[in-house]
Amino acid sequence: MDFDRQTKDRAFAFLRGVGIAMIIFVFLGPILWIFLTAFKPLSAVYTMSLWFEPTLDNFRQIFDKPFYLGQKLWNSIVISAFTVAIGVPTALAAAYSFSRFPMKYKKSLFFGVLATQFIPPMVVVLPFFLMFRTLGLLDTWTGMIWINLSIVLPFAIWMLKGFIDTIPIEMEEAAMIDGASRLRVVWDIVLPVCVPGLFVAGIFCFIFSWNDFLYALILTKKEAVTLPVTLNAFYTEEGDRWELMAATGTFILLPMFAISFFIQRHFVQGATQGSDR
Amino acid sequence: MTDRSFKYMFIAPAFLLVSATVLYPLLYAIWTSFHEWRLSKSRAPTDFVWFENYARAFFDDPAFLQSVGVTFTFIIGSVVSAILVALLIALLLSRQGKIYTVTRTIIVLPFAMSPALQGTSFRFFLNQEFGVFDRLIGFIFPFAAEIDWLGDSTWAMIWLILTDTWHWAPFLSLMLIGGLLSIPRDTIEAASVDGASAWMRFWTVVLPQLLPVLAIACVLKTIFSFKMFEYVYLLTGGGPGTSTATLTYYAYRQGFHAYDMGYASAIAFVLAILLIGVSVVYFRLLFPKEKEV
Amino acid sequence: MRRLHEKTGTILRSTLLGTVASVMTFGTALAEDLPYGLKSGKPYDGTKITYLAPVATQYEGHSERVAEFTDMTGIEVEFEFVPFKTLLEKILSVKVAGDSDPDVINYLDAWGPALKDMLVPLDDQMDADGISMDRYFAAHAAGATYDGEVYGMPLRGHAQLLFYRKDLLEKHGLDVPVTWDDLVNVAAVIKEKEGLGVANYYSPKNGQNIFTWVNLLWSNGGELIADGKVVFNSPAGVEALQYYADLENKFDVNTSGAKSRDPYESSLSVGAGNSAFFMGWWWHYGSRILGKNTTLQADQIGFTGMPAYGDKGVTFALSMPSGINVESDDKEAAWEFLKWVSNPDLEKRNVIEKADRNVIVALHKSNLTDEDVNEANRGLHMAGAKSLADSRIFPQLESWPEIQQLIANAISDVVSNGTDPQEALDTAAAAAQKLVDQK
Repeated sequence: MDFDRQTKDRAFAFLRGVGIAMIIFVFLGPILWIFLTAFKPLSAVYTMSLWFEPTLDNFRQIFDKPFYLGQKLWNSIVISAFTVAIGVPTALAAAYSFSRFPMKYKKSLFFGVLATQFIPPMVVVLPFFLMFRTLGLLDTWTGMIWINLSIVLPFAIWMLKGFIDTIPIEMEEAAMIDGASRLRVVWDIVLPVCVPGLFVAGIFCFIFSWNDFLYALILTKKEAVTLPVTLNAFYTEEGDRWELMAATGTFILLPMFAISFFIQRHFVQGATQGSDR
Repeated sequence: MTDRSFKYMFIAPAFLLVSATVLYPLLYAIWTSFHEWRLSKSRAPTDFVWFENYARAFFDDPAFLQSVGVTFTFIIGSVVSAILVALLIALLLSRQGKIYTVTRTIIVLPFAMSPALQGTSFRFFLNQEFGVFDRLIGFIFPFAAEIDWLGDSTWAMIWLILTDTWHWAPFLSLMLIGGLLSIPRDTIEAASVDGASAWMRFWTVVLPQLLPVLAIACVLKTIFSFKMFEYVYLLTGGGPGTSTATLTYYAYRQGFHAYDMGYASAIAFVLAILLIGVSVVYFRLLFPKEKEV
Repeated sequence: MRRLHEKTGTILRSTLLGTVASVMTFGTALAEDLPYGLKSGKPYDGTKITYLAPVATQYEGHSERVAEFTDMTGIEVEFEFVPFKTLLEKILSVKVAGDSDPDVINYLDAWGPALKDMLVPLDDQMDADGISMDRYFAAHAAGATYDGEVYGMPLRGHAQLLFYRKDLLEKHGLDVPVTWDDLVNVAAVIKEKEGLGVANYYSPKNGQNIFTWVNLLWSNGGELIADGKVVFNSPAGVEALQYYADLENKFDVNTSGAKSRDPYESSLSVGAGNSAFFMGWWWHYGSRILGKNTTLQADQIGFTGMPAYGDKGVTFALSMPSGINVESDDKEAAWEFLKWVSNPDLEKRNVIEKADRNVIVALHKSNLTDEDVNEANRGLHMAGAKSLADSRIFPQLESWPEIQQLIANAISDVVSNGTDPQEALDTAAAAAQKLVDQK
């Protein structure tokens, strides 16, 4: 019996190892290939070759004219950071309210928030453009942050409500009976348990505003142009400059990796608290 | 402060932010869908045409009906595949330990990759001459070496789904991991003491507790499958023939290449109505108990 | 000049300005005579104009020399580069908003009919400054003209050529193909002996697979649209499509992967040494076939006109004109810029001095047949001139881009799914006729 159990455990551990290896291979492999491409000289870009003289030429090109990536990198960082900083707390508040309180027309309201995102962007981008023009928000950080918020908030609210729904309500009730205020309850009890959810929602907000292309293309011109617009500029009339896209892609991914790793540690911490509850 | 005022105050900022931004464009687009608006002729919508644009879609445009079919094939395929893969990843990775943390960090990256770069790269990867996927698959399955992946209608759709899954499954799995980790461990342990098999434990203990998050993952994925555009645009261009031309892609072509914004808006709202229909079904299935008060 | 002023609605003031300007021109003519019909005396000194252009070597070449223009005229030019794939969306957003910015807009000739309302007709200015469209090939001039009025100066334009592996043809003692049947025969030999096929492309992506088929159609005596009737499903069209599909499915002369390939990947295939033939735009020569991405040497690659079908060869030509935004506040300065940027000297200097950076596209007849230009580019331009002499453009219809996509889908459907060519073209033609009738 004991022996059986041991082999079974070992077999499971082995399978898990294989599974993890496959996950890493499937999801990291293509990224590494793109990463390699960014360092390839043009002569090796369209080959299978793994042996090539690495070059920084592609990076030099993307920061030079006519692409000037530096300015756009900064725009993207500011716009995405503000979108997360405003979006996540706002979404958390709304999600908490949706999850915990009875409300008139709650379902319709909750559904309505999401339904604003049912329309493909290409048919609303021109109305957005006209509206932003009237408001003087074209080609500004404010405008871009605002439009990104309107896109990510509905999704973030939904995600966070899902997470809050899994948290048993009893703890909050107990604290309330002890005389804690609603804000205190949210701050002291809900927030710590919610860290995995906040992380997911934050990642979502950041990446979505970071990658938004169509709105950025139409609503910016010069001052607030973001990375994806430049990334798309490599679809030149003379074909796709894949190596330059790859170099730009590296700039998009590296900060994500750093941020993600940093947060993961908190993520785990938060999660541990959650499951030890 | 009472809960009564509190609950609205909590919702207000999000509500104002969203509605102040999207209401005008949405109404404008609805209004457009009942008008004729040819971008080539006019800067603004012109004649009110009642339901003409909608009628055209359903009664006078076989390409539209075909693309509805393509859209549903893609949605079903991509939602099922993304959720299943995400669930698998989540079950594997919802543990403590360094290797799990690192793996979880890594799987943020596919989602972080810009769809434009991913679409372009995957097209190259599938190229018969210099594609790493094509080469690798040909190496493992020699009989598949001759397949022109994006030149075959069935394979093109499968790769479209897989490309989309590669982007979304990791993110959805993070959502599910979040959900799994917040399931109190004692309930799972209690079940394993009872001698329930891993499979039983999953069905009877884990899945029910995960359901709220899983449901939301399904809803979100469905919405994004409906709206998916980049991969069609970059990977297949709707081809071969029109076998991967989804509704979003079709609306884009009608709006910006046939210059017919009125018709494009109508298609978009047909899409939205379909999406509302699907969502209602989801709601019935997934939140049967939630009551409106 | 007249039309320009009508559009701005400031006839009186501008005419006055024009008079002043011409007096000044007269007054300073002796002191400083500017080339290309530019107004001397810097009447627009300090004006700033923006130029919306896609990313392509051509425009980079312009932007690198624009300081010369600013020196002469005092007009500053800002280049706004947008991705080519989304250039149309960007232009349409300018149109919908009625924005005065950008002042100069570069567009694809096929979009001309839909964009003409936002562009200033240039005929009067051209007359005044002695510029004639005759300096361009008929197809390029036609692409910038709509209903007899010129809306843009062609700044970038292409000719179709057949590129082939000269070394392999010589090795096997084969002649350069002149007709399609020649091509099939020669390609069959090369494919058998060397394993390198024709880099044809059938992917419907961006409607580009129609570029080769339309040669076959026209050479076969067929038409796309005639007198408002869609006729590309005529027997000539069906035969052309059958032949085009046969290259892949019957003659088997293509390099594998053609069903999903697009033109960019096709020229790469030649550059990578996987294909021996490629038919397409001449710019592929410098950046893809012989670019830094390949180890091929210049003497390995030959080029000639597109093959003839039967005894006729009609090629397709495309151009990207630049026009002036009708809402622009600085139309006259914009016209000064257009005069400068489209002048043959600038083009000649760019294609000679920047040939190594693939700034090879030229449009002026004089430049295409110029000795120095041809020497710097191995005779590419002479071949282009021959191809352009017998070339045509797509029908000038607002809805053409979507009709093009319908045909592209049909081609792909026939090649990939084995659909009957007649049936596929009939379906496309029915949908296309609806678009044509919508007017």
